[in-house]
Amino acid sequence: MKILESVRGLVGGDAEVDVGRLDDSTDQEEVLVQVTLADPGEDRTWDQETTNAIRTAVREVTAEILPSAVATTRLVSSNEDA
Amino acid sequence: MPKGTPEDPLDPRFLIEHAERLTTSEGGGRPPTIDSRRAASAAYYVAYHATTRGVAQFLFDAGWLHGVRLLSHGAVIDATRMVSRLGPATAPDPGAAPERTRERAVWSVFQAAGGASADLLDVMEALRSLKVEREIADYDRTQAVSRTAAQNLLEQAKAVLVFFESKRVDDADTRAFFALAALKA
Repeated sequence: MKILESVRGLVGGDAEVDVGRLDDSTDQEEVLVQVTLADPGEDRTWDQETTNAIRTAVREVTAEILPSAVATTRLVSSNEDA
Repeated sequence: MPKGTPEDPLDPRFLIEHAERLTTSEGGGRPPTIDSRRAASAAYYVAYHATTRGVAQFLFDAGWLHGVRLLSHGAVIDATRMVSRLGPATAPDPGAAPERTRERAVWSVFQAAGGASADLLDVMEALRSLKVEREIADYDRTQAVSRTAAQNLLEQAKAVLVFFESKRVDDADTRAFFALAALKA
């Protein structure tokens, strides 16, 4: 919930967040945070500033609630049509 | 590239050009999904080769084209995990217990360097994220890989390349990452 609040604070209330363990998890605790949000449209993609701002926010919250874990964030478009 | 330096046939720029061709539609139509998948896979290799080139040049200087083969995906990704967990200036002290000796050593190296900077932490995460996406693109038939997604991954990969072609490779936090990748190899 804290991650969701943090991400929505950055990119808006439509963003969704799913948190799970990475399949190839090693001895180090690693969580995969999937952030689903609308892409900017017109075949454009999120800029690196947005991408890194989301990552930073996820890192900060993860460090707060799961200090022993490593977070990896993946961004997924909610309006992808492949 | 300095005069006399051999050309790198896997120069990440070649991979970027290749991936951009795959994500650029001609005639207004979207490219086939397989193009987006191959571009997403290439994006990871842009980042991986940019990273390993940086590590190998740090370790082997003129002999880096040979030395780079000693590195591995697992070593690089494991090193990124260590930097992400133990590198931030705000990372908690792992403690002095015997089983924490190695973690504390890594933590101490980064503390002495003033902590891993935010741009290095972004690059560490980008590498892991691109690897996850590469595995989806190459193996997962149940998930879609759109052109927009592939373009986003390519932008992330370009940011990794820019980082490892910058003066940041001379800084203590980046060199600590290089050393960890080498020690894990």
